Amino acid sequence: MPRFSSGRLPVLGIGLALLLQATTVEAVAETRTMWLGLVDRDGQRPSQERTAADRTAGGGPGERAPAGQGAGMRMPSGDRGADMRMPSGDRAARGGSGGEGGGARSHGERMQKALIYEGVFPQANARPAGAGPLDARFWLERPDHRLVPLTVRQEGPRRRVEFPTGTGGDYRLIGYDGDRVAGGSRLHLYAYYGFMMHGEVPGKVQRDTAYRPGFLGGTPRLEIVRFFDNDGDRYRSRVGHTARVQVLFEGKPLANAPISLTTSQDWQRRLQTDADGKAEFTLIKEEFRDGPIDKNRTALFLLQTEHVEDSPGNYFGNPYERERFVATLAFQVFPDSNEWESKRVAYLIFVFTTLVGGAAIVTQRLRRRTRA
Amino acid sequence: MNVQRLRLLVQAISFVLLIYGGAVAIDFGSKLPTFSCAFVEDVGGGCFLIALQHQLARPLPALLGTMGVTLLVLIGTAALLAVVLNKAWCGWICPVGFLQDLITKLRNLIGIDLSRLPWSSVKRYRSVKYVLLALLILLPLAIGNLGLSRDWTAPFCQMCPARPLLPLLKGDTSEFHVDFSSIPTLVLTTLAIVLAGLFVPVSFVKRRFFCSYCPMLAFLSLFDKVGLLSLRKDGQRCTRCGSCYRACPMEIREIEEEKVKTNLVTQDCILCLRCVESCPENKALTATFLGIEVFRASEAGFLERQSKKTEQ
Repeated sequence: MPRFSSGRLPVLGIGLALLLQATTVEAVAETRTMWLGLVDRDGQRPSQERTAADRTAGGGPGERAPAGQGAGMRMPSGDRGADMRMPSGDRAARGGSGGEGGGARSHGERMQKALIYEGVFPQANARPAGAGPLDARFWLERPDHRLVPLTVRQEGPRRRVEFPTGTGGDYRLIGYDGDRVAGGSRLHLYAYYGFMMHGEVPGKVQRDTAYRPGFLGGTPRLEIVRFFDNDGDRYRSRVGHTARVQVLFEGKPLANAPISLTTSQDWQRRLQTDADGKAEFTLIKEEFRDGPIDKNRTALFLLQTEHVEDSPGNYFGNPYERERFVATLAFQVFPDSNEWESKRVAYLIFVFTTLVGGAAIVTQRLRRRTRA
Repeated sequence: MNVQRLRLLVQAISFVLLIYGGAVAIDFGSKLPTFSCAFVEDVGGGCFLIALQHQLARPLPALLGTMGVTLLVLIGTAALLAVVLNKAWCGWICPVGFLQDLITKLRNLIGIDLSRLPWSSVKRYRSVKYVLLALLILLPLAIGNLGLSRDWTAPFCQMCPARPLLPLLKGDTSEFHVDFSSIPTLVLTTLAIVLAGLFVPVSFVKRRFFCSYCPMLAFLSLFDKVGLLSLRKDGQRCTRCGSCYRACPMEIREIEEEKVKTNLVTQDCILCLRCVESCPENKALTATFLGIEVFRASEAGFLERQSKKTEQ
């Protein structure tokens, strides 16, 4: 795939999504979901999100107001970064907090905005989260593996984060929430959203075959790592591609971990990781529409895995018997380019043109000889 | 000095570095004024035209703001590189040019005659590359400011034969397709395949056929008078034997006919220096870098090369 100069080319039509989805420890039925959707050039949400909004218009289970969901959340004054082992000063993104985040904006950088959504995936894709507590923190991992803390801002009824993208290469939005203790369990939520920007790539780091964490101050304890066959796949996941992933716990492959893939249409496939912590999902076509082709129409897919460790502890006066880890990796899936591209026609045109061109040259030369 | 052998060596090395270098972390960036296609997977260095087209497809206020600085850096870098090496980017580095030269060598091996266009035709078609350069600037501007469909994004790259052809050298056929999603993409991608189809047979009989219409050459020609690498002619020493014109792959007549001008880097010149090598007159043609002579025509050198050719 192409690599453009100077970066900042927005990944056209790609919605950036960051998802935090967790089953609470008290009741499996209660699910909280939160994610970010990129605000595109025209200030609109990505097409996929608009569709979801249409789909769920009139209300649905996922559109419950998040009020009260934060009952188990606390914002202790102590350092909450222990489980992420983030660099100091990275406690920037707290719900509704002010202050400057996003790091210094260097020359030529482009600010991207993403809205925060809450609810049940995928139904709650309809509405960005507005009110209610939000206790997660967000970072942007840049291509040079530098972590930039992001600040959550209130924008009317909506919340958003802003983040700068300058150079080309792989970026990740990262969310973490580890404040909740309930039912004897402490819940750690990790959420990732990876995307690739075209542009000048800083060094070799971007040629890795996966979104590696590269946290400068440490590593997240539970992580879903996605591998790619080539830059084209990394730039745009398409229907028909295979999503190859590996689940890591404290940096080591996690065998037999449950992992699921959920699509925007609520189709789901559940697998278990193999001995190397790996699993593969084929990205299905989940929507069939008539009408003109929209190459940039995307669907949000979500990978989710969980892991429980029996490790008693105490979190700011709240004892717990075990730790429950939930990690999600969200990504946009584009339509299969075979829907509008034809290689066969190209080969036919190529062969035909070559033969006609060759024949024309030979004919012209024969004529010249005859004249001579 | 056998300049053409040296040039072939440089071309081969450049080709490998640019097309395959990315696999071993070689990265010359994506601001190169040469046709190293950015659609090649892990390209070792990319053509700046694709970046230019994408950067220009922004609203005017953005271009006049920080994006304008980015655009200036992009064009400035390409221009700087153009000034340093002048059109040696085409004659010595361009992967597409190298492929055409290889096809020419194959033709020579087989012993098929080359074709020459009449000088009037050469002059007439010269302007095509400037039209293409203008379009690849104006169409993106129209996308960003006049509401032109984004299907016209990077119009030249969509129709460039390098896009389907160069990835093939790495076994990648993903760019070898016709895009049916809209009329503009259908037209442009079909044009790319047609040009790719013509590339081999026409290159076989016409040296550097694609270069004559290349907008990169048009861009580089904007700097040919200030380039550090230069081609100079001493009209007093020239006997108008025509040896230089016959050797020139771009069929530039001025190289033989010009008697007054000293700087002979014309708009089509790719600084391959074949004219210097083929010139039998001492110092009639000279290649200079920063005014310092790096290669000059000489009777002795000419005779030596002729005798080697005869031996072969």
